[in-house]
Amino acid sequence: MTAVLGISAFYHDAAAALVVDGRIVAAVQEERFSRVKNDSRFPESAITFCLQEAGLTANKIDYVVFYEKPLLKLDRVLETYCAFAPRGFRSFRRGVPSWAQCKLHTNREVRRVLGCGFQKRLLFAEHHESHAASAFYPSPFDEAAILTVDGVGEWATATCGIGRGQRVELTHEVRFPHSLGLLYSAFTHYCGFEVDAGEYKLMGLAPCGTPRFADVILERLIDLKPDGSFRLDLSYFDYCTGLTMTSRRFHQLFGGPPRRPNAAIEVRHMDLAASIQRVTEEILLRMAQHAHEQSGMRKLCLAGGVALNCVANSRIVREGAFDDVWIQPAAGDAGGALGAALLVWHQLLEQPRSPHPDDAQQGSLLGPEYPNHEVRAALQSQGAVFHNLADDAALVERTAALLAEQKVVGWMQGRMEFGPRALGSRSILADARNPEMQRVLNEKIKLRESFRPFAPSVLDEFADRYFEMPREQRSPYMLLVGSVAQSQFREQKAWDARMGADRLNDVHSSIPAVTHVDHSARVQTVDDVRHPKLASLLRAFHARTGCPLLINTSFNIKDEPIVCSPVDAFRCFLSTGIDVLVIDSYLLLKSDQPADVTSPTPAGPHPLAGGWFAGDGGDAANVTEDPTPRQLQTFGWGLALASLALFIVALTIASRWRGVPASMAVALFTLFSAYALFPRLRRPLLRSWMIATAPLTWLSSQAALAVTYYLVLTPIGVCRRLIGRDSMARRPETSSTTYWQVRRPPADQAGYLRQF
Amino acid sequence: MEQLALAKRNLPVAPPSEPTRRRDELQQLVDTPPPGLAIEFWQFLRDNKKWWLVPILLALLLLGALAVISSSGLGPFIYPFV
Repeated sequence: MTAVLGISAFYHDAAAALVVDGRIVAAVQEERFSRVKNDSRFPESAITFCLQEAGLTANKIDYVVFYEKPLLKLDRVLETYCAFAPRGFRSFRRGVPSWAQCKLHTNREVRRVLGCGFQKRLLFAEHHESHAASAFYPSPFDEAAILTVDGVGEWATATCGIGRGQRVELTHEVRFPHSLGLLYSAFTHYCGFEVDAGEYKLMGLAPCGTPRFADVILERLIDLKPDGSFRLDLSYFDYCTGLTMTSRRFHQLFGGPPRRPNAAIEVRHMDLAASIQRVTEEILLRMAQHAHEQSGMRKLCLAGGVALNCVANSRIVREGAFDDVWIQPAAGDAGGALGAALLVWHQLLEQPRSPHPDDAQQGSLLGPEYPNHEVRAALQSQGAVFHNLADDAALVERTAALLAEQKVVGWMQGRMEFGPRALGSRSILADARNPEMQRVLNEKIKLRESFRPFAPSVLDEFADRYFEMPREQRSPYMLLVGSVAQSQFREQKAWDARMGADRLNDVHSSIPAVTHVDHSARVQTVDDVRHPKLASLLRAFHARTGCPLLINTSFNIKDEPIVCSPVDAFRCFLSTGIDVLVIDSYLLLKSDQPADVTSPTPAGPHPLAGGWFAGDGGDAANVTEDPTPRQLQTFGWGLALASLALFIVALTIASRWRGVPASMAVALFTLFSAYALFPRLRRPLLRSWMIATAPLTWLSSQAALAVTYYLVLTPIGVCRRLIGRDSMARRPETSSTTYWQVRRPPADQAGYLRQF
Repeated sequence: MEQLALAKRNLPVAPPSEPTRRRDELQQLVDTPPPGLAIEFWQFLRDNKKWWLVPILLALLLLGALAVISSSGLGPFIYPFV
């Protein structure tokens, strides 16, 4: 048996994945356990779950692989600061300390979690190599072109290459700072949504607007080549050195400052969303065409955060040169953990690969599952009132009846999904025929923006009746959009001239709650192989109502991760307008719950590690919440040594100045005596000392960072620029036909031991 | 096990299959002790000929050392007097 553990962490979406003898045994994001949305911290709980799921202890893990190369990434970060210094100190002081604190210490973090049972060296794959592996190895193809596009990895922001048999080889790349992912994120920021989290909101907003800025973007912001490679005009952006994404020049070009998160969404923002969506689709189509021409392949595998843009994906499927396209459902950084583990198994160990007859990704149901008795115990512990419907058919029938009565159902069954989409294991379900349902779900349950559409889950065999999708085209992972079929429209409305939000509440079709303003829907096709329980529920609902589809939205509220455990689900059920909760065989009605049952307190975030290098990298005071025994011991020694040193100073200096160190030494010695004699005082003493010295600590740390930046980094950066070194490739090359660069060939086995 | 038995009986042993050989090679590599971060930095600078990064990395290593101290009980003594 060979077990490979893949890990992604420290940027966003930390995750762990375990591959045993080539089979994906478990994969899960840390956020589901920590309850912190897009949690980037080292995935301790996710790793623990993966090992438990496989029944392994740390000493049974053969290989641990990290999804990117930290030193290459640090190289890019430092080169970027050098290219712009003396600008960029604010970004430096916030970003760089986290390198010293955790990002360079993957080895230490792994050993902390796995303990002394794991003594081997770690492996490090490249960021886009991990994405490429996550796209190709679970795909149903023997060979395929591969395209990965995201914000940035080490240096690459987009890559293309070939997957064949057990090998993945990326041949070309577009390099930082020229990044399609960051371009999209810049507009996400400008339109008032959170970067790395709100991109899908921008995509949802796009159909409300008209792409009137698309030409401006293409003319002023990008030098786009016919093969999809491009360079950005960095004077419009601020992400290289600033704390925001866009510069003042960008704001002038698009008519004002960025929208504040709670401000009203104007037509201009909708038009910007539509414009950047149009440009993104154009670039991706060209990149896909380039991947096809380079590889000669008829199949395509996609991954990287940009591959979660299902509207662009659908255009590649419809208009691209490929017969078939497979997209990694966890296309973001979480999927990198899975890709890195599969890369070790197939590429480094040269284990043969044959495409899985059903679905190697297992419907992405790779997370935790809670046995029936645990669900019962959890519900009892919360004082919940529930009905046990042990017969599956009875449970499904009862749930379908409640859905037909226009109840909103929280549905938690089996293993949790890996990736950002709820696919029927942790979903909120409702009747898509109800014109009010979108508003009800958005405002009373999901507590989110009213423009955001909901996705339908439709029985596979009915997909082409409701959506304009070819019969052979399936979307089991909700990664493609389809237009609602003309036959489903009650009244054929001409495309009217009203703008954006005015069209949101139109009743477009027989399934208005899942029909977006442009008549599109992000479809999940449901079959009995991947998602059997959801399929049986849809069948029961169809038999009862004649409608084979339901709204399927993730089981969470705004800014929270999808629920993981029964207690998470129960808490979400109580705190929102969900009418019915179904967990495994247990059915709970909101009206049955006693008034004194209150929503359990959320688990909340883990306390951030103490120290001035933690979290925001420099703004935190050095106040540790709960000192460890080692810290307490070291502090005691510190007190003793400091008082001794002051005594020596007092004895050696001139007599008229002797009083100051002598009195300090006496004070410290008294403190030390109290510290040594009364163990109960140690914790409060250390905490008080830390609080008292925190301002000086903060000042010292800022001074140290400023000295490093202005006296070391800036002169080097300025000198390099004077001799013409531009690692940022800022000038467009009009004479060149492409910005794709040839990648270095894949490393040998020893290359994967290196962090660069 | 079968190969071991053959070897013990001095019978010809078939060469290991490619995946087996690769696994053994990788196993040997991951069993070697890690070189440490400073050595890895050095190898990175040498392989990429980025000597101009040396002063910056040294300054960052110093900051890193301060970070390690900050997480120990000595932090409160060090920083106020830096």
